[in-house]
Amino acid sequence: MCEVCERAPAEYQCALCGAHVCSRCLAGTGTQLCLVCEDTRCSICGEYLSSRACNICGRLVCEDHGVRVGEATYCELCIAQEDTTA
Amino acid sequence: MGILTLHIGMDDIDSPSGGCTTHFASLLVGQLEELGVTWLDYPNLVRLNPNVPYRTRGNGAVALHFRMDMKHREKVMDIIEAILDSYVEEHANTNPGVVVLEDRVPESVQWLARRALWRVVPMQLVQSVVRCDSVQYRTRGRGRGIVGALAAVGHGLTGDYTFEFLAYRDLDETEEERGVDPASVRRMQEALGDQLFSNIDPETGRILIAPKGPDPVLYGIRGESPNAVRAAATHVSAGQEVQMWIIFRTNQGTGEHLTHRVSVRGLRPYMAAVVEGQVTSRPVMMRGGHLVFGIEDQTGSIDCAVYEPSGSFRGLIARLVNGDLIRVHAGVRPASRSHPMTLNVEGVEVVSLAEKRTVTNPVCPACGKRMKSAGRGKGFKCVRCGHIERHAEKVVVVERRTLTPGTYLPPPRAQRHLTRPVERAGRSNLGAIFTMSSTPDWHWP
Repeated sequence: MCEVCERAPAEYQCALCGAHVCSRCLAGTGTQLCLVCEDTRCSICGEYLSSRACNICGRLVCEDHGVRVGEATYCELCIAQEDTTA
Repeated sequence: MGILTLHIGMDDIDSPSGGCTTHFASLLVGQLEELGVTWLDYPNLVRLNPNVPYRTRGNGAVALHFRMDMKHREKVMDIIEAILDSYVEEHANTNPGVVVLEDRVPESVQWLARRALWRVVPMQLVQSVVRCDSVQYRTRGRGRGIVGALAAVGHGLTGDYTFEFLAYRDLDETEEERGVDPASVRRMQEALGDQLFSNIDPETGRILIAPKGPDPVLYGIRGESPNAVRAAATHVSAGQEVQMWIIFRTNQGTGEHLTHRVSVRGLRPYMAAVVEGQVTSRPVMMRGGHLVFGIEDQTGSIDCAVYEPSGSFRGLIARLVNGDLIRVHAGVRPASRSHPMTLNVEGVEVVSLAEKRTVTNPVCPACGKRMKSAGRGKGFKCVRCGHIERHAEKVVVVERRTLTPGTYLPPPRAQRHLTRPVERAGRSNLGAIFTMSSTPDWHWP
């Protein structure tokens, strides 16, 4: 059974998380990713899943492309922008 | 005109710089009362999977359930639109969603609620539910809040539940110190005892009722009944004026996100899961004070991490040895370039303990000094007195374990909102009925 919607038989396996999913829960982007991974992967590298959203721009970023400062997360792009502005 | 039953769900109305979904809901309660609605339940504060990456803070959504005269039907959406426009701060990570459902909550929405407690629900799937069940909704930004909004409505708090009294401050004063008096909170705890939970951290004495961020919440008191949290609030003094307060019925402190037993192979990123396995690599302290150990079951192995803020909990976990059978309560942290997929430990049940054995050389029978090996098959030799024991063997000592089977949790300051705290072990409000008439003043003004 599809691990995402639990409604239809699983036909595919997500290339990132390994979930078995139906054709409707496979993202239609030619990436062989399930809808969950398509929604949550790092918006900078796209290679890893995100850990948090950037507190400035809202981008979802993985641990390599975001920096935790206390409870907040800042993405690499916003940090670079701040540095340029400063 | 007839009577209409309505369910309003809302989520993701807060941003890192302020605002709060519960505060928004409280304002909505005030406006709906002007329409003469009849409340069917306390406002529901539903905490969802704490491991989703796009949450702002505690991943809490709110649902309001009420009846009203059919003639006001159109006004409800107008009120929601107006509050959304005036309340929501534009922020890239604020994606509010508000849903309105009439009469019976469809099974698809209830399924979504069960799912959102422990998994990530993709937007596309939620949109199909919205389309199929003709859900009315309003969103701002990317509208991701619609996931939690629907889940809050579908949840219904039909299992165990607790209450939280939330006091709010002026929105213009959210940058100021709250000034909640710790002594007053301790007096509150003494007065109400086991009717409250997770309001003070016993390890540090720190009070946990006041958040830290620039949000409108002045303080929140968690307890077992509406009367208990209402009474508790009379003890608390703060440096800022209470501008509004409300009592929520909630799934906080119920542990209901951790009800799925999953094998190592079945784990997926962001899942909230209970994984049973044997310890295969004993806990090692890493830089930053984080503790990492490994477990395996019949389907695979995985690293488990206990983080520095867990305080003394790390000391207990450090006593695990290879072969111990445990159930790890955890959130699944996705893999990154620097580490594989890992279990972020929220609690551990020690099921059974392995024997902790140490093997040593025998003691010299002549002088009491520990002997050294005399060579393969040659027994042992005492380096002090020269005594030789040709047939002696290594001595196996079974060490006394200082850990006992049972459930171990981090201190309250490091727990999730959903974690079932020690005070609530074996306790449940399932089946208890707290009618709204028993606490007529459940909100103010």
